[in-house]
Amino acid sequence: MYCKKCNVRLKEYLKECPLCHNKVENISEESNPYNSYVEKFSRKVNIKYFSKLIMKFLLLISFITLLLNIIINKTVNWSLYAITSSFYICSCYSYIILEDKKNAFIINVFALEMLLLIISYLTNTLSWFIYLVGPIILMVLYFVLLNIYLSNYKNMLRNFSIVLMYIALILFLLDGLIHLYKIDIFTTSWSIYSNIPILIISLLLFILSFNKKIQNEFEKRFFI
Amino acid sequence: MKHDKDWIKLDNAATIYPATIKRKYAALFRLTITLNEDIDRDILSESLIYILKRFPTFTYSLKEGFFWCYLEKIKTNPKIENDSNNPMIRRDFDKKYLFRVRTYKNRIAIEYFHALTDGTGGMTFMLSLVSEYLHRKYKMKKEYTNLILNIEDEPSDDECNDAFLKYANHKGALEHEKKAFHLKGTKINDNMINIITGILDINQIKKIAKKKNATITEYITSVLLLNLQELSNNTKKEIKISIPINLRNLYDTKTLRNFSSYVNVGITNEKNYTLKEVISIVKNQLKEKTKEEVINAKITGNVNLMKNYFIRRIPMFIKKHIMSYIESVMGDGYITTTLSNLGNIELPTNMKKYVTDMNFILGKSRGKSTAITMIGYNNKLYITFSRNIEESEFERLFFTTLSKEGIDVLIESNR
Repeated sequence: MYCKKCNVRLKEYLKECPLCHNKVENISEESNPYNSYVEKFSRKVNIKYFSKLIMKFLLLISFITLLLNIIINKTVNWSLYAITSSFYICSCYSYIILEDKKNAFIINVFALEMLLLIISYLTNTLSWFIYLVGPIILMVLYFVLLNIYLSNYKNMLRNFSIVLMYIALILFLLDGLIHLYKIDIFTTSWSIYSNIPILIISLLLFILSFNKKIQNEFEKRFFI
Repeated sequence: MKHDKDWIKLDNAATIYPATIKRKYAALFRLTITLNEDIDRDILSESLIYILKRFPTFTYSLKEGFFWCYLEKIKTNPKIENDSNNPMIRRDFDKKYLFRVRTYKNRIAIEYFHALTDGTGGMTFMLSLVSEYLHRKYKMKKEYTNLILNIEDEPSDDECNDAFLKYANHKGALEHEKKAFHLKGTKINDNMINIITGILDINQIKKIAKKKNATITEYITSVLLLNLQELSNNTKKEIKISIPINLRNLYDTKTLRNFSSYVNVGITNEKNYTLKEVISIVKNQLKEKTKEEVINAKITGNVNLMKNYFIRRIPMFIKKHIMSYIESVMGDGYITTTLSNLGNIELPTNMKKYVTDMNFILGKSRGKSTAITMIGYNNKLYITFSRNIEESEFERLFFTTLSKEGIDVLIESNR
């Protein structure tokens, strides 16, 4: 085929001259070397990219706040609110960005601890954080990590007994910390009554967990 | 196994490309090879997986670190994909190979993200793949050239290393030029690209270029500059064409990573030049600018920039915006268009009988409307224009100029 206007030969499959767009008579069966399928941009929202963008924005805001604080007050005080809050929000996005959600959880908990510590420090009320909130958050963190760790082991009965022992430990510490916060002495009262039956049950379950028959029976009835 | 690292740094030229990635743009180029029979995708897939061990630097995906982007090893196998009417669309790079092998009927196309390799590296990968495919499909006896590697050989350090670092000297200089004229037009859809390929007889064009005392590249560049002069409506800006230079011709290296630079040649719009005058200007500029010491100063300038104490310490999320801006000003801003020439590709005789066509296409640019490529194979010269505007006036002017010179032009297009 030929385009008389442009004075060039055209591949037989073309219906018009790509140079001047004049229609040409096409009677050939020659196939188009290009596929007719048109690819589209992926419409998938890139949540990771979006999260990273927000994190970078927050980092920038924190940096500006810190600079302003230093310039205005010649010290670092109120900007710590903004910095630690930003860090906490960033740590929430780490669930999306990080492959290992366990690491994201650890980062998230430590960011929360840091935020609360800064709030208590700047408001001159450190005691509620040191005696109560800080340790309680750490106890929750270790409880979750313990469960994650135990999920690798299939002996449900033994896992359950270990979790019960940890709960007893939490109750003991909670009791002591509340006393420490209120009367400045680490002592226990009510936790003894709750912990004795819990520890007996957990010890019993721990021993029974070595019996395969009982272990199977337990798994059969309590599987999730 | 020493080239099987979990991650590697980008080569010096590649560092700029991740910074230029936008939601609908990435610096891509495409090489195609047409066989005389339809492609067997299963055999091609087996061949691709097999040859990857010989090309360790191709088995990485792009990742963003805090200070620089880097390449991270991929453990999964690449897949053969369907080719489309709108090649080189920007796609997600996350955990994906930086190349795509696509087929349509009897054509194999490989699209590369430029951070991975340049034209020569890409051509070596494609021809090695096709050679392996033909060997598996037709029991073709493999012959090795500098563009077809023996898959059984161990990858060398030279192939995997960043040659820029090896050959950069101490004295570098970054180029500062004036803004160039840009062709304007009606923008097409972001996911589309207009491709027009002119297939010419290489001997015909060689004869005409020789008559004008020029090489094919000099002649084609001059005709393009003359056409742009005609389209520029007496703009005061310079008309400049960027010509990538394969540095492997200047330095003794077989690297499969980026190792090319460029020279910008052009004319000012002080007067209406004739073809003879433009050829003379282009010849002189090419002669001056392709001297080893000039090229070396340019690559050293780039290496020094990336080694700069302060630049290295800027976080990537800030640095990439700066790099992207600088690239748009100093890259596309300084040139009207690009003419990338991969040269004449010679295949071993037993492979030649299976291969009917070859092509090389540049993806859409950010700042300029048109990019041009040249590749020679089997006495044919393929000149391809890829553009992101509706108007094809530039291509029409160029091919009709050649036609008026007595050159037989055969046109192919995706539209």
